[in-house]
Amino acid sequence: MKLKHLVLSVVLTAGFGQPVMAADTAKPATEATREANAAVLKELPFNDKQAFEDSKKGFIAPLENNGVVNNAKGDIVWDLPAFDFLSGNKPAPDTVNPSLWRQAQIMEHYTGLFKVTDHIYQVRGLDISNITFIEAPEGVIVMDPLVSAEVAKAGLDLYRKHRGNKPVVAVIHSHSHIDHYGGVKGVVSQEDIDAGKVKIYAPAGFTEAALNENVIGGNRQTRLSGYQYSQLVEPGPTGSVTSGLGLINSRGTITFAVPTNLITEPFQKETIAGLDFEFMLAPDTEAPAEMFFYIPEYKALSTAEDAVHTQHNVYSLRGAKVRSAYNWAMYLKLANDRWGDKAEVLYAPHHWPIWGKERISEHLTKQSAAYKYINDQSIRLANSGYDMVEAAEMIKLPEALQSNWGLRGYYGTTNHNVKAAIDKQFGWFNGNPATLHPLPRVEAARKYVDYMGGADAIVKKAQADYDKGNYRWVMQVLMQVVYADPSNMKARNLMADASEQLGYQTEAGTWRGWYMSAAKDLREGVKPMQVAVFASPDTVSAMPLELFFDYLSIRLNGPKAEGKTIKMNLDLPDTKDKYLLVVQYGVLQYHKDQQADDADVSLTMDRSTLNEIIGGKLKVEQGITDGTIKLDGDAKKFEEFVGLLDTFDPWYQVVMPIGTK
Amino acid sequence: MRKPSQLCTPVALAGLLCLGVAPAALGCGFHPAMEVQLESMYPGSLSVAVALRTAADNGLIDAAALEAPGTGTALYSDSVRRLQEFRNALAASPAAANLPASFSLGYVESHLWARYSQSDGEVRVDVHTDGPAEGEAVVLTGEPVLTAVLAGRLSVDRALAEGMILIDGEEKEKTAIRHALIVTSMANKISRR
Repeated sequence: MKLKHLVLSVVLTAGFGQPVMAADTAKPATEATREANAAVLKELPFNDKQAFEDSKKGFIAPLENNGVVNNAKGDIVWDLPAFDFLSGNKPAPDTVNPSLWRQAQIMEHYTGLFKVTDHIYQVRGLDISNITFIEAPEGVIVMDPLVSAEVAKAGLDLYRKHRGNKPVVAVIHSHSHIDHYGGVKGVVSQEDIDAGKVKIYAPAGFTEAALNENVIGGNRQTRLSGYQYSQLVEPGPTGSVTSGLGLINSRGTITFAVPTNLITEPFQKETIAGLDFEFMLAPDTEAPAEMFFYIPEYKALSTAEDAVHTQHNVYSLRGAKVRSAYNWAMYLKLANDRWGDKAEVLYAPHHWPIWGKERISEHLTKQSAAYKYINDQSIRLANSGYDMVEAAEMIKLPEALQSNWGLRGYYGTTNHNVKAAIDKQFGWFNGNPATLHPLPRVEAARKYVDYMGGADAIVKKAQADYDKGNYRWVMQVLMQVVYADPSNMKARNLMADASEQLGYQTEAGTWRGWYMSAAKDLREGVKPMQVAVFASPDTVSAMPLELFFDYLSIRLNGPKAEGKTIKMNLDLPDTKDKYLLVVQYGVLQYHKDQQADDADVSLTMDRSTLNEIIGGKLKVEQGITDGTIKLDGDAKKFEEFVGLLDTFDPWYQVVMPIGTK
Repeated sequence: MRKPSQLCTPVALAGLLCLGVAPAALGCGFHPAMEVQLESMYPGSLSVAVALRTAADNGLIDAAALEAPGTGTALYSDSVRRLQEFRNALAASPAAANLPASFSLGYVESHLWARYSQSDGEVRVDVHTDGPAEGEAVVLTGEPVLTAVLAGRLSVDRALAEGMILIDGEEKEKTAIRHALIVTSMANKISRR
C-alpha cells in the first residue's frame, strides 16, 4: 500500500515561544556602526521631549504584577520585565540606533493605566497595542482589546480596579489586525454577545479581512513574523529592541467575535451605550478594513492605526498585501478636514495620545503628507524610468516630515514604503527584460560565484568591504556565495556579521528584527522552536466556508494533482450549505449549491462538526465512527484528495536555499 | 515504504506544537490539540472507519465504544485495557512465535497507536506510541472490534472481509498477524464486556 501522508492544517496566525538565541553569540558594534549611530544623535532633535511628556500624561496606576501576565496554566504570556534593559535614562548603547532606543524607552517607561480625557482611559504596555476604555452612559465600550484574552483581561481588571465595575456593553474593533481583536474574549463572553448584552462594532469587511490574511498566507506570515517581530531573538541591546510600534506581541489565547454591528457607510453615526459616535471608513489603508471615529461629546478622535507615532507600513514585510499610500493620505486628510478643528484629543491603539486642536491637526496634516509624498514621488520617479530600488534610494521625506519623530521609520520605512507604492501602482517588473526572466537564486548564485573567481575570492573581498563598513554590499554579495553553497560557514558567518551590524544601525525595529533573525539563522541554521498556533473555536466557526476551500486550494499540489479528477459532495444540513468540490486540471474548484450524482465521495456533516475538524478537535475517522460524519462512496478517493495537499514547512529557509539543513 | 502519517504524543498541549513538526502534526484523540488540522492516521483508515460505523449500525459491535474519546475517560481505560488483554492473549498463544518482531495496532476512532513487540519470548505492548515505525506491519481497527474478536463474538475473517480490520505489511507478516488474531479469538480467554 502506498503511503499517503494525510495532514491538513490551517494556521490562522501564530506566535512564538521563548526565543532561543543566546545573546553571547552577538558581536560588538564595529567602529563603522558606532559612527553611524553617533551621527543619528546629531541629526535628530533629541532635546524635543514632547513625546515623553505626552506619554506620561494622565498616569493613574502601574501595571499589576510588575507587568507579568500568566495564563491559566501559569505560563507567562506577557513579560514586561524582559524589557528592563530599557529602563532609566541610559543612553543608547553602541549596538542600538539612538532613535530606536528613544522610541523603545518611551514605550517601556510609560506603562500602566492612563486617563486620556474624561471618560476615556487606556492601558499601555500590556501588549504591542493599547486597550482603550470609553465610558458611556450605559456602560463601558472597549476599543481594540489587544492580541490575546489574558492580557486583555488584565487590562480590564486594572481599569476596573481604579474606575469601578461598570459592565462592558460594546467592543469596537478599529480594524482587522489581530492586535486589535484577539483578546476580545478576555473582556466579553460569547454568551453575552449572543444574548445581545454586548455589541461588537467593526468596519465593513472586517471578518473576511481578519481571517483571509492569516489563513491564506498563514504559513509564510508566521515564518516571516518571527523575523519582523524579532521573536527568534531575545530582547536586549544586542537583540530585539521592540517592534517600534509597540513592545512585542503577547503570547496568550487568541479569540474572535463575529461583529454584530458593521460600519458600512463612508460616514456613519451610531449611538453606542447612549454615547454618540461618528464613524468614517478608511479601507485599504493600514488594514483592508479600517475605520476612524470621533466622539463629539468628549471631543475625542481616533484615527485607528493610520496616524500613530511612527511611519507605518505601506507594505508590511511579514507579507501582508500592499496597502494604498494614496488612500492612507486621503483618509487622514478627510479626518483632519472633518474633525481637526474640533478634536481636543487624538488617541490610538498604539503609542500615546496628542492633546490640543493645533497639535492634532498638525499631526494629521504631516502624517497625511508623508504618505502622499511617498505615493506621489514614488510614482513620479517610476514614470521617469527608475525602478523601485533606485527610487527608494532617492526619496527622502521633506525635512519638516523627516525630522518629525512621529514619522520616523520605526515600523515602516520610507525605503520599503517607496518600493511598495511602486509595486501597488506598477507591479514588480521594472521593464528591463534582463530582470524579466532571470535565473532563480541558486542557479544565478552559482554562476556569479564562478564568474567572480570562486567563493574564497568573494569572501576575501567581502571581508575587506566589511572592514570598511559596507555591510549592505557585503550581504548582497555574500548571498550569492551562500546560495551557491550553504555549507560555506565562512561566508555565512561573515554575512551574519554584516547583517548584525546593519541591525545595530537601523532605526526600524522591524528591520532590526530582520537583520538579527537572519544573523541567527545564518550562524546556527534554522532551529525550530515552539510555535503557538491559534485557532480558537470561535475563530474557526467564523471562517467562511469559501475561505476554507480557498485554503485547501492553495494547499493542492498542482503537479501531483495533474491528470486526476476527484469529485466530492459536501453537505452541511444544519446550515443548508451544499458544495461540490472538484479536483481537475491541477486545481480545486468549488461550486456552491451543487451536488454531483457521479461524485466519487459524499460527506455529510453539520457545520459544527466541520468546525471541530478544522479546529483539530475531531479527526475525520472519529467523526465517521461516532456518526457525526456520513461518508458515502469511495473513502479512498477522499484519502487521495487529502494526499494531494501539501503540508507547509513552518521553518522554511529564509536566508539560505530551500531545503538547506 | 511505510511510515506513520501523524505523531501522537502525550505532551501535545493545546495550542502548542512540538519542535520541528509541521503545524498540523501532533495530538491524538485522547489529547485534544487546538491547532487546526484535518488528518487521517494511516492509508485506508477512512475505509475502516466507515466499516466500523456500518458494523455498529448493524449491531455487530458496540456503538457506544466508538464515541469520540477523551483523556482520562472510561473509554480510554477500556481501550488501553483491551490492548493489554490482546497482549496477554498473544503471549499465551503459540501463534506469537510467527509474528514479526513488532507491529503497530491503531484504533481509528481515537488515533491511538500501540506497538506489539517480542524479544526473548516476551511479548510486550507499548501503548500510546507515535505510530508505526518505518516498514513496520500495521493493524487498523477499532476497540469494539478487538473486543468482539477477542471475546469470540466476531470472526476475524468476517471483520477482515467487511473492512473492520485492515492489515498492512509484507504478505508473510499479514498472514502471521491474521493467524494470531484468529488463534487468540478462538482461545476466547477474555470475558464479554
